[in-house]
Amino acid sequence: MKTVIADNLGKRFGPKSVLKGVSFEVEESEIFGLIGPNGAGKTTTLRILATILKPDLGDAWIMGYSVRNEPTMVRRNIAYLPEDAGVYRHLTGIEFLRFMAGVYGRSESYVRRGVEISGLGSALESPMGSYSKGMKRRILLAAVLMIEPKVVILDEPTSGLDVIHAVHIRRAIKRFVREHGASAIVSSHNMLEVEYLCDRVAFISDGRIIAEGKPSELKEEYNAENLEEVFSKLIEVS
Amino acid sequence: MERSILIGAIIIPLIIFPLMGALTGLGMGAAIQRTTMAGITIGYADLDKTNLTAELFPKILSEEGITLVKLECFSEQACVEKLTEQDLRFGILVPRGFSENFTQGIPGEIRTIYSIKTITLSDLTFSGRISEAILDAFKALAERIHGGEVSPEFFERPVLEKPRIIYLGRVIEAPVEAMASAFLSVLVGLPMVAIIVASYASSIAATSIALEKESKTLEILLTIPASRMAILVSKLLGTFVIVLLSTISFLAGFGIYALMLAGGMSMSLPSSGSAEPSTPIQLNLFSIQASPSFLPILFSAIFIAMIMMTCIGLLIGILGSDVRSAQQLVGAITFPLLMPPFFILLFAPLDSLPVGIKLALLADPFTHLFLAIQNGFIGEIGAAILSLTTMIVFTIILLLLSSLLFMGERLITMRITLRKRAAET
Repeated sequence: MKTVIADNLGKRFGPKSVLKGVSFEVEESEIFGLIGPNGAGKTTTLRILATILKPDLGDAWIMGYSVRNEPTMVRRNIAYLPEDAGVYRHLTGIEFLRFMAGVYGRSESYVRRGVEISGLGSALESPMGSYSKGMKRRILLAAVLMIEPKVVILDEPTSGLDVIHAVHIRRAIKRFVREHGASAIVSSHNMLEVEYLCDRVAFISDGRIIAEGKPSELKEEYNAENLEEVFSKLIEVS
Repeated sequence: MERSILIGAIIIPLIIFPLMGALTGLGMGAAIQRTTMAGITIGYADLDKTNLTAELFPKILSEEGITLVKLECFSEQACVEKLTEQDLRFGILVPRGFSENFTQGIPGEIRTIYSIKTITLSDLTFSGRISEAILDAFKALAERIHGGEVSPEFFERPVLEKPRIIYLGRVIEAPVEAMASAFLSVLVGLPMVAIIVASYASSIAATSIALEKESKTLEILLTIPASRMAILVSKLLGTFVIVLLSTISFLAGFGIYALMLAGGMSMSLPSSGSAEPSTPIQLNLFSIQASPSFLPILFSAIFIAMIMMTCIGLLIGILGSDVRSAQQLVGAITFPLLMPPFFILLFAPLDSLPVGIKLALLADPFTHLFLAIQNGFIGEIGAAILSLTTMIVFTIILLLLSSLLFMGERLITMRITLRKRAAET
């Protein structure tokens, strides 16, 4: 079942065209990676899927609901974690998880699940203002995953994190998708991470998808050892 | 130089203060026009009917350009009624026996009546100037009659003035200077409270949205399964509760201060030129001078101003790129809105201003805040309610504008800042 369908998405900010017809599909129980350089259009695409921005052209459907026409229904099926998202400094980790569970109408059992996903232990009793960047990212990811959305949208989920926190987050995402049959869309600069994490990837450059497929297929097609090499060859060609 | 310093610390003061100076100057100009002594008419009840009171004294005043209009009355109350009938703002009542005392070098008593209709600085100072002019006229009269043959004390104080102020039908036995001081304590103090409360509200509201933008929690908030209107209303209510608590605390503190001030206002009349130097005057700021509806109107005005500023703050928070920008915008937007009407209305009534300035002030929502307080104070309830209604209309417009911006994607994409933006990567 296709959980996400992006069809010819176009977006313009003033004179600058940021998206020029982005299309892709994501299946159930699939982790889909969106890879590209800075300014390629990754964040804009994810913001459109998260209903924060409206597309100027095209449309996207999540669980059958149009982001353009049915944003409230879309929001009931997604959870979105923006790049470098911050936290409410004066709330403790556990208070934040309870707050988010309350917003989504989830019970205490979901909060316990969040506690488990975060892996932060006793630090959950401390105000989030005292958290390191990695801890903040883990509590935010836990809040996003514990509500069990059908589609989870993650913008650079491990950007700027040390290895320990990055590994924890990658494992949590993978485990969540496998256990719940959900879909995940992940944007990243880290090709090795994408190769490990994603079932399928799309390379985006200058507002267009320039290649799409399973990591193994792409490596074979471009005769490359890893996705970094594929990306380099694609950029050279384009 | 950083743009925020350039705009906030250099350009805005360079524009705003001269602008305020020009506007205040206009207000003062209008006030001075209203307070020119030449051509002023004073009601005059001469019960003594001597050459001194009927001829000499009016002649000296006429040399100053002041015209006396004779009032045919035989008691103080009747003279007040005549003064009102003839729409005169000032009156002098010279009792029988005055000339006899005066010619013997004994200070004679006179009754002065000041009918104060507006409570701007111009009217209050003008009344003070009239009092001085009357005293000066009697000093000149003393010189002409006695030359150097009487005591210097008599020349210093040739009359004992018993002032009576008629203010909105209420009679207050007090010198004009004391009234001016008491009035201004209220008229400057209370709008200042409103300004502080309003500024605080806009700052909290702007920070509440800008902080969410800056820390990127707003994007998470916008993807929860709730409408943006619900999020906006929640933000508004949350901010409003904090502002309300702060306002209650502020007003309680100010109330205690005002009560202490009012308690300390039991003062003696100044000795020079007054008939009863040792009589204490009870100037209760809130129970004697203000109309009974004043407190409800005052609190309503501050309450509405608080909501209005919360809406302005939300709007600024939406427009600003981060907390610092929002705080700078709060100052840059609210300062020019709050200060000009405050200063101008202190010096001159709105109606005395040139049409262009008057219209510009009426377009400023805070003009109506100060007008509501002034009108409420003097008991012009209809005008005060009109001002409050105008403030409500402004608030609704601001709320609609805020929600329009909050609903759209400009909430995320709009980045108004007074600082130079770092080169985007």
